[in-house]
Amino acid sequence: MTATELRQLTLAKAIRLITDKKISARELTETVLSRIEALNPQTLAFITVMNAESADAHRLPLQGIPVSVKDLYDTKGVRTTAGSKIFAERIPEDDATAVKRLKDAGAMIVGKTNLHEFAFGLTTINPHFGTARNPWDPQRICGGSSGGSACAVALGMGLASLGSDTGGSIRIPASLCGIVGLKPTYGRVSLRGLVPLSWSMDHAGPMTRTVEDAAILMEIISGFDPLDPYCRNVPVPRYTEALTGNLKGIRVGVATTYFNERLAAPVELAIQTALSSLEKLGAEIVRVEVPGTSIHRAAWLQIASPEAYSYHELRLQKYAALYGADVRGRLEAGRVLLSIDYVRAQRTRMLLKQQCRQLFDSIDVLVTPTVPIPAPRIEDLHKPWGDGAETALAALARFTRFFNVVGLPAISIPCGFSSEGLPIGMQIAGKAFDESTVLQVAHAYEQDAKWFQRSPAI
Amino acid sequence: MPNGSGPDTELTPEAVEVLKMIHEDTLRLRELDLADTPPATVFEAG
Repeated sequence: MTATELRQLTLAKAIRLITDKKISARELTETVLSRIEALNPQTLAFITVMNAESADAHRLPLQGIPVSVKDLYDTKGVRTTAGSKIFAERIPEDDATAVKRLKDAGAMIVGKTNLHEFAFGLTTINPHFGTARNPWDPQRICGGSSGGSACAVALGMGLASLGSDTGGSIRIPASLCGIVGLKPTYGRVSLRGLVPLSWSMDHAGPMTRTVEDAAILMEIISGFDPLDPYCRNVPVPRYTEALTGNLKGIRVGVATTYFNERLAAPVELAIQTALSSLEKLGAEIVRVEVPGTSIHRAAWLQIASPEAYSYHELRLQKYAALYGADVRGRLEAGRVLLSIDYVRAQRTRMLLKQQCRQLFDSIDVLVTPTVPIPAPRIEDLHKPWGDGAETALAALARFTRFFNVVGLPAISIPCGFSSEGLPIGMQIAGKAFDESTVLQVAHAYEQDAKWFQRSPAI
Repeated sequence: MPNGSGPDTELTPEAVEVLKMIHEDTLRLRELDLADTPPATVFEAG
């Protein structure tokens, strides 16, 4: 199998090829491990590469297909660092529930991917394990915090990955690296065995090359887990059955404010073109005002910071010097915020949830850009861009964290490329526990636009 | 630079910067009329 074939191989196609005995899972895994060995020194997508054991998985849905998981998910007997120095030698005694479900379905875990330290940042510039590089331009960030996962999937270093998302950490790197990333509804996928960042806003989800692959993984990792107190007992549909290609009768909401403001020109053009495609495919475009856009960031900050500090409190008191400066600063800020502001933020959150329920009475999905800009250069992160109102770093989560505050499902899929050849992502959000419609719309657009056929040169 | 991060230790410059940024946002949050809206809990999604 050539590098090009591997980069373009999807999970769904690999399942078919293995079922038809055209390739073997062992051959595929060996090819993926060779690719990791060749590319990881320059991309730093992986913190730990695992010794893939030969498994008799031919009767299982994933057939022994090689995938990776963010190094925030516990893996039995394999170190789980959370991208930190403090956990550098931490070896869990059990798999995270989502990892266990992947393994039980026949997946071969080939490695643990790089991330922003403790998932508390959007760049995957990691002071302990190095900076994961964007697969389309190594001078640019992958995004984060699941940057290593996005890089790995884009370059064929595993056919899929699991990421986590507290403010955009699945969707932002998916957008910047040109892949698919789904943050499900809060409570849809078990968080047991993930090192927490903010308990009430953390989400686990798939990162893949195509929407179909995301649907396949969602069928495997979703569902009630009695060991996660926040996991909801809501029936899991066959997500792959929603991928009909038909958008007739689907109401696509488009925001008249906020989500259409301060966009880089190629992002604005790509989104407008994508909306025209959705309309051509039969969707009805509905202009809407999204509630709470001016205050959701405040609510996010007032919730995420103290929840994160609470988890790290004792370790920070003993080992503060072992944390990276940026993450330590974010954590320490959570120590001095007022409890009344935390409660105020949670009340605001309730209000936004109620208002979003009303919003989604009139639409089935909401479409926005995922990130206002393509992947920035590492050296430009702290510089203002565009009209100078914000830095490139500050722009990254402007459109994603809203959906962590309200807990609604949101996917990022490729919707074009800039003139510099950098991928652009479109975000599609839906009603609570209605990942099916989100996937349906994403898949119909994807199969029409076919951006997934483009892959990085290396 | 403090060694620890307990309640009596100084904040790092990075933490002070984060707090400045959060402060502006928090003022907007405090101006919001929440009427009798109760807090969200993690048990109700969406």
